[in-house]
Amino acid sequence: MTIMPKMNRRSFIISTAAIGGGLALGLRLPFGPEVVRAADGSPEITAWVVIRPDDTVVVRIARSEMGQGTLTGLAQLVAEELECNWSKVTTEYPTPGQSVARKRIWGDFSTGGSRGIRESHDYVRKGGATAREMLIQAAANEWKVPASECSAANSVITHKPSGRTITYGKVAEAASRLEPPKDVKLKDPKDWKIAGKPLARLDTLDKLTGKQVYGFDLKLPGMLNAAIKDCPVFGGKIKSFDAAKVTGMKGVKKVVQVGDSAVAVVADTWWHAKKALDALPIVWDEGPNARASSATIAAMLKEGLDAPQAFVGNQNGDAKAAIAGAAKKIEAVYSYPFQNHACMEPMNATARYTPERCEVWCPTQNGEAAFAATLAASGLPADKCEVYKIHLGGGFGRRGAFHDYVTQAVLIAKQMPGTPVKLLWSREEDMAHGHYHPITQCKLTGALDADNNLAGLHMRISGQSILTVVRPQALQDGRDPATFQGLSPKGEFALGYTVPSLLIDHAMRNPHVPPGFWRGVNINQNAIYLECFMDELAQAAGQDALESGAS
Amino acid sequence: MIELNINGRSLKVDVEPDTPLLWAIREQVGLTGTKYGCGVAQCGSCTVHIDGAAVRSCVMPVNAAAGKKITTIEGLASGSVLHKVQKAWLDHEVAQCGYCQTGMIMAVAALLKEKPRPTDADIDATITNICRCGTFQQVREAIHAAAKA
Repeated sequence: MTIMPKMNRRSFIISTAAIGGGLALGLRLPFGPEVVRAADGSPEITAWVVIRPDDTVVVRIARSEMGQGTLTGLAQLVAEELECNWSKVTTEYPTPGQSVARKRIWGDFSTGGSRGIRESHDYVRKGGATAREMLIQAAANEWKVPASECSAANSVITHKPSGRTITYGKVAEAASRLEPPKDVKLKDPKDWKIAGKPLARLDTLDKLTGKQVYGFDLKLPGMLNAAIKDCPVFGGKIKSFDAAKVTGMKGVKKVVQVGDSAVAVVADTWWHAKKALDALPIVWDEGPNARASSATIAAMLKEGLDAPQAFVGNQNGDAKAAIAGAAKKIEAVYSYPFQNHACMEPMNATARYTPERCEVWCPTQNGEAAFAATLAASGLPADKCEVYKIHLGGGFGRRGAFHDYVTQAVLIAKQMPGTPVKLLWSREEDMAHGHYHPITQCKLTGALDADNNLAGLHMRISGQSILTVVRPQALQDGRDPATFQGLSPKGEFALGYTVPSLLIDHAMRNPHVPPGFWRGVNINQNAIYLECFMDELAQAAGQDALESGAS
Repeated sequence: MIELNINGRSLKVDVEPDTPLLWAIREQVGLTGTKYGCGVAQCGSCTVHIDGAAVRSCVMPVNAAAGKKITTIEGLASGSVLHKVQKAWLDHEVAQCGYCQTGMIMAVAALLKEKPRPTDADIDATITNICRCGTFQQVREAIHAAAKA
């Protein structure tokens, strides 16, 4: 197969100001065909691979690195197919704005649920393999030999009959002008040398020396800092605040309302902003949830434990009859609290707004969702917005589905056009304005027969549904299927036990406190409920819990 | 103006004397390797050395550090040669998100100066920094490795 010169790849003129050498794609050169280029002018071979003249390979990573190793893992997959020298590999994040402009060429940016590698390994490997074929073709063209006589290894292309060699960096420019081949064959995993191997992570060293830039370490020229307070009661609003009391404090530049429920102080430093915010008199309208408390929420859930109506998640036989006829009935009630994601790095985002352009720098598990939040808050179209992803000090789900901190940063920046403003939440704000792992209670009733066999089990969950708030379109006739993770009749989230008569159901009780996806999601509490109860059953039956569980 | 000695450099910072040392280091001096995690000396992300001892800088007023020798994570290595704790951290791939690790490393470096061969009990009692990714076992292994280095 001969790879033809590129005829009509679109060029994109997108200005960027990402820190650390972001991309500036599609700089149209006054000569030759259009080549997509990185900020330093190096050619892009495929969307996933940029090669510099010194043989450095820049692998584009669309997913976010937050400690789970995806950055290195995805780079390994690309490098494996590319047949490049691993010691020459570096990485960069493409931006969501470029992704939109290029018809989502990098696919999904979302990073959660352990899906970063699982759902993109195929196409990132293709990106590496395609680039490899183009580099080989470029070398073959230069030598005027068939590409089939050439091979690539360790960033070096060899013409087997003559023994001539050339490195990737030397042919990258020519390769970038070729039309990418349509179908490339991926390597058999048994031949992998880089992918699937326990290599050192690419991003460790900077984390040990203080050099790694996290979202809240960002510095931009002329940047101001903001501290924020949202209404301490969810659903409440700002009634009034007395800005005049703090505008004279050292460093304070502006006091701004953010949406209808928050107020922020913008100052030269964050410490000044925080001090002024603490001194700012604010009157809240705490709204309909003003009197809600842990006790009222617990009572709401407790009522659900015996409520007649509930969504069924798993059922076989007649559990209620089995329990009614049990030789021995065992019952237990458990509860699981709200949990905050508590990322070590509190929520933060930096925004710069003008009526012509809005840019956001932020730690995010989903660049595209941060971009969507930027569009919505700025009111500007996609071609006037950009998001630059900065390393995350933890995610755990908090920075995936929720970009409230981005929305706030943009709303603040809009009130100071042209000035970059970095919004950082205090830890207190972070704890009080989470999207928490949901609160539930669970009542388990087990029926032992005369021989101490488990004849029936009713597991009643009462409590909060994540999907109802976060993704209502995923509900099934009002039922939240995710509530039954680990308890379902079949599939990825199947229950691990067989019980002759079984009923698992969910009385949905949604307190006003917002829930969210949190590492493991609903498996966490479901497993604890079920396994603790299995231990209680084993004890009641006079059996060893471990043996009983294994049998 | 308050005069600070940070990583061997003498510099003046223009802050109110009750400003936490953490924010003076981050926002005045511009060294961002020292992190804000909780602001109440619980998590240890802001750990620096004051005259060689580990201190949680988020609750120490900057004027209390005046005239003392302050070392931040940026000053721990000797030029390009990593401190033995950083080296152990690299070898054991301790870091996940990495946010807490600079404070963790500073706390451990101070511990090893005090107790060159700490026991697990010493580590439990002294290294109380919080890592939300949960790297505690790797931290422990790397401490023992650094102690032997």
